[in-house]
Amino acid sequence: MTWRLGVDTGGTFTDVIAFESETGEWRATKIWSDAGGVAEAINRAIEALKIAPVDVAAITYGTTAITNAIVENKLACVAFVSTKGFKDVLRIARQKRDHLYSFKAAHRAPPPVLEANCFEVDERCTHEGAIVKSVDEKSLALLLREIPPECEAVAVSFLHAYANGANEKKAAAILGRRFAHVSVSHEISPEAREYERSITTVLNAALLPLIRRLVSSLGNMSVPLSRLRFFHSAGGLISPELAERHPLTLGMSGPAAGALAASAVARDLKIPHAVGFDMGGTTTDCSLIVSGQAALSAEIRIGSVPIRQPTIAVQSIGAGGGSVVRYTNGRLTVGPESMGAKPGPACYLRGGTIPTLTDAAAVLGLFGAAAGFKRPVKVDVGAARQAFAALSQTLQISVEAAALGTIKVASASASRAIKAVTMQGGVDARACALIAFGGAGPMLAPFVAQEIGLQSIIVPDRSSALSAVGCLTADPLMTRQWTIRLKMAQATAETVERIVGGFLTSLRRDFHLMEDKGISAEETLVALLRYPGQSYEIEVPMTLPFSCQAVTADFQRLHDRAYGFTSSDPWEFVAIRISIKTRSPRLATAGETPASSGLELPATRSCFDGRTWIDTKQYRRDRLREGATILGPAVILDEMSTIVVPPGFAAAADGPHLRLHQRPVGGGQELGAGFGDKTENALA
Amino acid sequence: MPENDVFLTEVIGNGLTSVAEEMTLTVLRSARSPALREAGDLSSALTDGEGNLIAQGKDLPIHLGVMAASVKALIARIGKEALRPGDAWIVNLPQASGNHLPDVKVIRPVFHREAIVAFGISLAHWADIGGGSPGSYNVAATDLWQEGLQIPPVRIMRQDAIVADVLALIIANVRGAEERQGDLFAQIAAVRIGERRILEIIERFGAEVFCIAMRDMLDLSERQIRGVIRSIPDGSYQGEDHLDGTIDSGPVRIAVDVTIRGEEAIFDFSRSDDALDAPVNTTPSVVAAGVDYFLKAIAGESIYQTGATLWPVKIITRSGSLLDPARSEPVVAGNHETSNRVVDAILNALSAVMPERLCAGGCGSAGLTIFSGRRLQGDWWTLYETHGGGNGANTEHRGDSATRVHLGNMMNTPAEFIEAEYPIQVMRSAVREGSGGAGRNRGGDGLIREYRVLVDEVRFTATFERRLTAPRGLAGGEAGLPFRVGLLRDGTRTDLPSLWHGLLKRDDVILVESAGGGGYGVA
Repeated sequence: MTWRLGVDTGGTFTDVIAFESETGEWRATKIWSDAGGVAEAINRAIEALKIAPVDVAAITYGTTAITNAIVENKLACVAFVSTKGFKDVLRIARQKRDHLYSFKAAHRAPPPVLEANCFEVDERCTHEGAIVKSVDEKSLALLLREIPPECEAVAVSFLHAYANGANEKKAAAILGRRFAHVSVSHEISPEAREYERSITTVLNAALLPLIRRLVSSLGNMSVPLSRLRFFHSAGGLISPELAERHPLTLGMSGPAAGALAASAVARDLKIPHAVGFDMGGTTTDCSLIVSGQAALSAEIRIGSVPIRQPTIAVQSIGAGGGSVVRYTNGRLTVGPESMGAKPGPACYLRGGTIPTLTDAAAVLGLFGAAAGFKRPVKVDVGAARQAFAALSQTLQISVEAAALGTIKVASASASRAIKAVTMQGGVDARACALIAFGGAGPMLAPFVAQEIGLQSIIVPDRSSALSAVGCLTADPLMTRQWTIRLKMAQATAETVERIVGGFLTSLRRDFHLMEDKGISAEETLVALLRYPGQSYEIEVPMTLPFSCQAVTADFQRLHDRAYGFTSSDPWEFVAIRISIKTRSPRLATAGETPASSGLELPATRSCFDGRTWIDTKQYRRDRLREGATILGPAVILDEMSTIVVPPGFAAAADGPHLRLHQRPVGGGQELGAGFGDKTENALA
Repeated sequence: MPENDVFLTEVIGNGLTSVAEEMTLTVLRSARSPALREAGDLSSALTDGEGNLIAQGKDLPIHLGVMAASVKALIARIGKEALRPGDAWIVNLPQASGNHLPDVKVIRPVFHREAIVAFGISLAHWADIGGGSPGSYNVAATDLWQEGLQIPPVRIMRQDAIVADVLALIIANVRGAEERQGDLFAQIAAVRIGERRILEIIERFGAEVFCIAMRDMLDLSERQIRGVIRSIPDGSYQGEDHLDGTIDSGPVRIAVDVTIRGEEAIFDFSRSDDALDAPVNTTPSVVAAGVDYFLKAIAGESIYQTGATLWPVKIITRSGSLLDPARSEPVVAGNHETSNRVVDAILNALSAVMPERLCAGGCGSAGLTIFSGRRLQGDWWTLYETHGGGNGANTEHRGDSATRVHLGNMMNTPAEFIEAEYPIQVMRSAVREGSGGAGRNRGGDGLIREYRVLVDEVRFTATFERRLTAPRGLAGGEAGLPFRVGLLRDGTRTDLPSLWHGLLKRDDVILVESAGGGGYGVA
C-alpha cells in the first residue's frame, strides 16, 4: 500500500484526502485545525484514516498560515537595511492614499517594520549593474551592533540590486554573523521598483522565524519530514528546505490549491476557459483557468501589501456564507464583516441573530430538507426568517424578497471579482464555465452565472474539500521571474539565449535540491514584453532557440487582444518568467458506479423569484449516475453542501463531476480589430 | 415609470463602478508615459445620457470632479443630435468645463438603439501638450495660448476608425510624439471597453431598468447629500486661505462664504482675489470639483459617488477673479494648487462649528518638478514628478506622512525607473522628520527628495505652493512646516520661488522638502 495525502489547513478545519494509486481508493477526513499543532493534527488524521504511517509515501501540505500572518500582522520583528538615502522607502510607499473621500480615516496602514528598525548603508549600484560604491564592511559591522535585540530577522534591499546582487550578498554575509534569518532582495524578487521589491523582501524575512518553527514542528509527524512538500502560491510543490528560504512563496498557498484543483477539473472535461469560484464562510476566491492551466499574475496583494512574485491569479473578496447583511444609508451590503463559525449564521442555531448570506439561502429553501438524508450541520429556516424580519420591515418587502435581494447583491460582488480576474487574462467572463466549490460555492453559482451571463457551471467531485484535492494532484514546480531590460534591437538570439541560459542554470540547481537529478523536467518560458514607456507587460510564451520574428508576431497579436490596438513600434524585453516542473503520478479514480436506487428524495418547496414558492425536487448526489438529467427547479444534496438547480437550469453528471447548464441568453462580441494600424500613415 | 428595488440599484451600481475601474486599468496597463503608467495621473468615469456622473474609478478627485462637466459641455457645444455611434471626442479646453490643457479627455457616447444612454470618459494627464516649456508647465505664461495646444471638442474617432488628420494635427503640436500617441490610444481603448461593458449590462437588464437604476442612484445620492448638509448647523461661515502668488503679486487670497440653510448650501467665492497673469488661475468647474470633494468627504464613503451631490448646492464665483478668469488667462497650476486652496478655505470656514468632522491643513500641493532635455534626435525627454506631503491630523488620528491629500492622489515614480530612463540620479527619498505640526494628534510629516543632474544641460520647472502660507493646525494644533525647493550648486543653496523655470548644470542638486500637515488639538 502506498498512500499519498493532500492536507489543506484552513482557519477552522483541516481537510485531509488520501489516495492509494494501486487500488484507486480514496479516503477523506476533516479535523479541527487548532487542536494541538499541525503535526499532531496530521498524525490524528492519518490515524482516523486507518493508514499506517509507513505506508504514506508523500504528503502535500497547503496552508493559510502565511496569508493569515500577513493579514493579521502577526509577523516577526525585522530590521530593514537599504541604500543610503532610502531607509524610508517602506513608509513612503507609492504616496497614494487608500480612502479618496474622508477627512477622518487614517488613510494608510503602517508598514510592517518599525521606523526605528530601518537602517541605511552607504553603497550604490547603477541600473545597469555597475557597482559605484561597494559596501563598507566596517560600517556594516557597526550597524550590526545598532540593530535592536528584539529583531529576529533582517531584510536587505539595495537600489538596483535586481541588476547586481553583489553588495547585498556582502551585506548578508556580515549580517549573517548575528542573524540566522536574512533575506536579500535580489533573491526574493529580482525586479525593478524599489518599494515593491523591498516590501516583498521584508515580508519574506518577517516570515522566516514562523516558517522555521512550522517546519521544525512538522518534524514531529509520524511520517518523515522528507516525504512532505509544501503547496506554493504559483501552484506547485516545494520542499521544506526551500520553503524555509522563501516562505513568502506560500503566501497564497490555500487559494492557489483550490485554483489548481479546478484547473485539473477543466482539463478533465476539456473546458477551454473556466473560472474557479471558491466560496467559503468569510471569503470568496476567484481564479482564471485557460486551456487547463490556472492563470498566473506577476503581482498580488495580500491586504494592502503588494507582493511581487509569480502567483496563481486569485481575486479575493470578503463575501462568503457567514457574511453579514446590512442596510445603512440607503444601501444594502453583504460582508466583509462575517459571523464566522461562532456565533455563525442564525440558521445554524449557534447564537447568531444577525442576517447572513447563508440565512438568505435558508429563507429561500435552497438548503433542501429531506428526512432520511443526514447532514452534520442542521439548518433552521425559522431562525433565518427571524433574522431577516427587521430588514424586510425597513424595506417594506417580504422576507423572501429581502433574502433574494441579498443573494443578488452578493452575486454582484462575486461577479466583480470574476470580471476582474478574467479581464486581467484578456478573457470574456461569459465564455467561461464556472467551477464552483467550497462550502457555499455550488449554492450561489447559478445566481452568479446569471449575473455574468455565463452558460455552464461545473460542481466538481469532492467540491467541499477541493483544495485538499488540489494539493494531492499538484506537481513539483518552481517558478521565478527576473528583470532583463533589452531593447528589441539588442535582443539578438545570442544575447537572449546567454542571459536566459544563466537563469535556467540557477533555477535547475535549486530545483534539483528538491527533486532527483535524473528526473525529466519540463521547462516553460514566458517573455514579458511591452512597448517602450509602458510599464505593464504582455506575457508572450517563448521557446529556445529564440526567434525574434515569432515573438514579435505573438506580442502584437496578444497586445491587440488585450487592449484593442497594436503598433509597429519596437518592443522591450522587460523580464522573463521560467517554470520548471515534473509530473506527479496521475490519479486514476476507481470506476465506482453509484447505486441506482434512492436517487430521488421527497420534494421540498423553494422560492427562486422572491415571491412564489414552488415544488422543488430533491436528489442525492452520491446516487447520481452518468446519463441522467435533472431539470430545475431542484436541489441536489451532498453531505457538506447543496447544489441548487433553479428553474431554467438542467444538471447532469459528467464523469465524477456535475454540470449545470443555463438557457442561452445572447452572445458576446469581440472588441473591434486594432484601430492602431489605420493611423500609421498619419505620422509619416 | 416603473420602480426598481434597492437591490437592483446596488447590483447595477456595482457593475458600473467595475466598468470605470476596468477603464482605468486599461489605461494604466497600455499607456506609454510614466506620468500615467507609473504615477497613475488619470481617471475614468461614466455619466448618464445627460452628462450626470453615475460611476467613477478609484482615481483622482480633481479629475472626477470635472469629467462629467466636460460631457455636459460637449452636449451644449455640439448638440446630442450630432453625436454618432462609433464616435470618440477629444477635448482639453478649460472653458469647456475643463481644468487645464494637459488633462486631455476622450469621451465616447454609448448608444442603445437610436438613443444615447450613457457616456464613457477617460481623462489622462499628457506629459506634454506643447506650449512654451517642455512638460507644458510654462511658469512664465501670461495667457492660455502660451500653455499649449487648445483642443475644443473634436472627433478623434468616427465609425470606430481614428480620424487620422485630426490625430496628425494634435501629435505635431506636442512633444514626444510616440508616447503621446500611445497614451491617446490607451484612452480610446478604455472608452471603447467602457462602452462594451455598459452594453453588456443593458443586455442583461434591459435599457429601461438600466436607466431607472441610474436615475435611482442619482436620487439616492442627492438624498444622502441633503442629509449631510442638514447635519451641518444652519448659519453663514467665512473662510479663507492663501496662494503664494508671483514674486510681484505676493500672496493671493481664496475666500469663501458658506451658507447652510436646512438641506441646501451656498458656497460663494466672490471675495477671492482677482485673476493674475500667471498660471495659478483656475476654472469654475475646478471650484465645483473642490466643493463636491468636500461634501463627499464629510458624507463618508458609503454614498453613491454621482454628480447629484451638487444638486442641492449653489456655487458662486466672481467673473474676473482667480476662480473665474477671462478665457485668455493661464491656468495650468491652478488645477492642483488653487483647487486645494478652495478646499482649505471651506475647511477654514467650518473649522469653528464642527472641527471634529474635519482635519487640519495638509500639504495640498502637487509639488511638481519637471526635468527635461533634448535627445540626440532633437525630440525631448521629460521627467514629470509630483511630491506628496504631510496630511493634517484629525480628532482620531495623527496625519499620514508623505502622502497625497484632498484632490490629488498620484503615485510617485520609482527611483529605479527614473535612473534607468533619465540622466537624473535620485540621491535621497525620505520622510521629512518633524515637519508635521504639533498637537494632541501631530500632523503628518512631509517628504524629502533629492535629485542630482548627470548631464550638462537640463531644463527644470518647479510648481508648488505652501512656501509662504504653511498648512494650518486645527482646534489648537500647530501649523506644519512650509514647502521648500532648493537648488544646490557649487556648495550654495538657493531657495526657489513657487513658480520657477531655469537651466540646470551637471552635478546641480534639486532638494524638494514638502510641507508637513497641521496638528489637531492642543499638544
